[in-house]
Amino acid sequence: MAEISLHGVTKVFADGTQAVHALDLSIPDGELMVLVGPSGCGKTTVLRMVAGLEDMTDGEIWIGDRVVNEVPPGDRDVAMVFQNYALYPHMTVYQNIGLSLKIRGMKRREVARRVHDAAKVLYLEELLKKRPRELSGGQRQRVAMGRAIVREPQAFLMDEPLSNLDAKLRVQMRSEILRLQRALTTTTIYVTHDQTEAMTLGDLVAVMKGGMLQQVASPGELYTWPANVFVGGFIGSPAMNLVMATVSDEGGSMFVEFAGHRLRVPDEVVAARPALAEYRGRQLILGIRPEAMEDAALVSDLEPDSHIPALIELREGMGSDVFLHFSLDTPPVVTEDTKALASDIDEKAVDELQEQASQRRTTLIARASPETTARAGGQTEIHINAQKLYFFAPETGLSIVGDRKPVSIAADAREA
Amino acid sequence: MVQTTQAPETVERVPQTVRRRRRMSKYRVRRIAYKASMYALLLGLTALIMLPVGWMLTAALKPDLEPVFTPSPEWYPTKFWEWDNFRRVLTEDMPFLRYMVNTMIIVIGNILGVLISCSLVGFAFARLRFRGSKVLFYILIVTMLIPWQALMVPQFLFFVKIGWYGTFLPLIVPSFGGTAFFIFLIRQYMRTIPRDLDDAARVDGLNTWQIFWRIILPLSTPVLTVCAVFTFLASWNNLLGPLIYLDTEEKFTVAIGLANLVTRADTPWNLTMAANLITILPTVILYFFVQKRLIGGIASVGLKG
Repeated sequence: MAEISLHGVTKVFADGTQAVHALDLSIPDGELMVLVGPSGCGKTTVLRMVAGLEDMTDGEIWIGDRVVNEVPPGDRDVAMVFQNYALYPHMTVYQNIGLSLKIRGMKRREVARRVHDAAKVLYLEELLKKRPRELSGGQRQRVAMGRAIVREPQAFLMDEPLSNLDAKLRVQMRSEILRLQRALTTTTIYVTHDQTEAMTLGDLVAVMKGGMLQQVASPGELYTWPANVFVGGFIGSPAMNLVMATVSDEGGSMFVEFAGHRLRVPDEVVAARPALAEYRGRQLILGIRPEAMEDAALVSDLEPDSHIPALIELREGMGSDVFLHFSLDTPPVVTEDTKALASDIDEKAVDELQEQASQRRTTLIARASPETTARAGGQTEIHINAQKLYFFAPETGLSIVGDRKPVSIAADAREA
Repeated sequence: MVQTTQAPETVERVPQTVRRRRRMSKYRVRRIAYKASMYALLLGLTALIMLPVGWMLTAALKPDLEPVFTPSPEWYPTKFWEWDNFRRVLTEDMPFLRYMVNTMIIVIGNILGVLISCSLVGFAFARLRFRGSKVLFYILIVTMLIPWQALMVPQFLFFVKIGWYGTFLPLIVPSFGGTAFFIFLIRQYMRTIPRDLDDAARVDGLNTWQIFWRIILPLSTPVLTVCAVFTFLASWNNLLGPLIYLDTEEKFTVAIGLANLVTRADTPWNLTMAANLITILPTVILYFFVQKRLIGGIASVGLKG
């Protein structure tokens, strides 16, 4: 077990694409750090560099108390779980798990003991004589895990280990991995593009975009204090709603205005964000999470300037919640960050964003209680919990916070 | 109105079940007919291929003075059962047993040579990144275009000079230098093995040699089988090479032995056919054992016989 730290790690591929920009990251001993971001953000490259499978262009990687830049993968004392498991097809489960020990010249009896121990932890004992092609996806995944834990390495490196499983199994294996990591307390780097996985697994989550680190924080902090628009939009499902808003002052209170609607910003929200005062009379990006909205009919003691009228376009009943889709007559926020967020969904989402911009229309999603009577095509008042508003600077996309400094990392990265 | 809507329903319900049953049996008849015709076709083809072999056996079992080429060919043995002919070919009149041993030495040497050299070179081209690998590979491919006949004379002179004339060495050692075609096949096959396996193996602590030996090579058995069988056939049937390099009878191969049996006059056809049958045997046995693997291999290599 060891701390892993990366200092100014940079990767430029032979064709000139810069996959990772001067990355500084440190994973405390025994913790699980999730690297999350849209595809092509460089997270897998980072993992492969830590494993030693990819050369670094610049920087230093420390595992424990040594620099491993020049250390071959097999001598770094790390184990890796691959997205497609990369089990050796011609070997049995036993041989797959035991190979790394055998290569290190461990005695046969000791190998057998450790393989059986690992198999026991992962419920693989019945399968030791089988070959990978005879196993189900979940079983293969467990064998891949077994191959990692049997070595008792200083660190686990996991490259989207659950993405080839179906949804149900994924949830099950996710808790399985968490259980194992907690039990073994082995420092772990876990790469995924799935923010739910990131939030549920990580002690710490590092959000990456375009080879640059955006923010490193605990899941809770990422959710409440996103460093910028990208992190805000990436973390949370359904994604945070973003609109351009103007800040105004009236009778000692602060208001945000957007699409002809007005919301009062509670004093304590303003107090927690000293920098917000500078935006009086100016535009900023307002973030509203779907879960901060509710059918106003279900809110007791409704205050003035806390709700907006909405024409419901689509109602999605989820059982526990109801997602209400509605539009505002204002163009959507189009920045580099929101484009990146859209392209993470698919190519069509980017076109849709442009189309909405030309129509000056923004679609919002509210997460209402199941008791809501709102129907598609009907007019409903939507209450917005102003305690849970997010504010971002329109020029930089950085969170407007003031004295809190989770933004510093992202700011540094941008300068670099 | 009521009648017209009800009538068709009741009328239709009965024949529908009958028709369904009839349709089922029609499918069955068709399937049986299809299978029967397939078997008939295959049996016919087999008979066509086996006829000459049967004739060979008939000829091989005839005594020395009996005419072999009868006006209407005898397709299978009925009258003569001279099994002694086989013994004579193997040990007495012709030392075919000796020839077979000699050929086997050359065959096994060649297979070893091809497997060792071609798998190593193929691995390097398929999995290792090194400067100039592409150019080297193209040069290798170009060597496939050089006919063996062009190399025959210089090679012969070379081997005579180093004193290998009259030994098996000129027939075995070159195979350790690799064969362009087999290297190409093996490289193509190894390229299809996922790269993640190499990565996983590297993290597991395997070095390049161990990755080759423990991961890539075992996964390449289909293509290696194809190469081994092709090499077997080529060197088992090779006449020209042994003819050039071997000068004493105790070193002769079966191909030379067969060629020597046929003379301008007085060819002992019964013995020739017996020898031929013996010569076919190892190939048939080999095919019998590697059949499944070979077909799988040829299919996966994307190669047609």
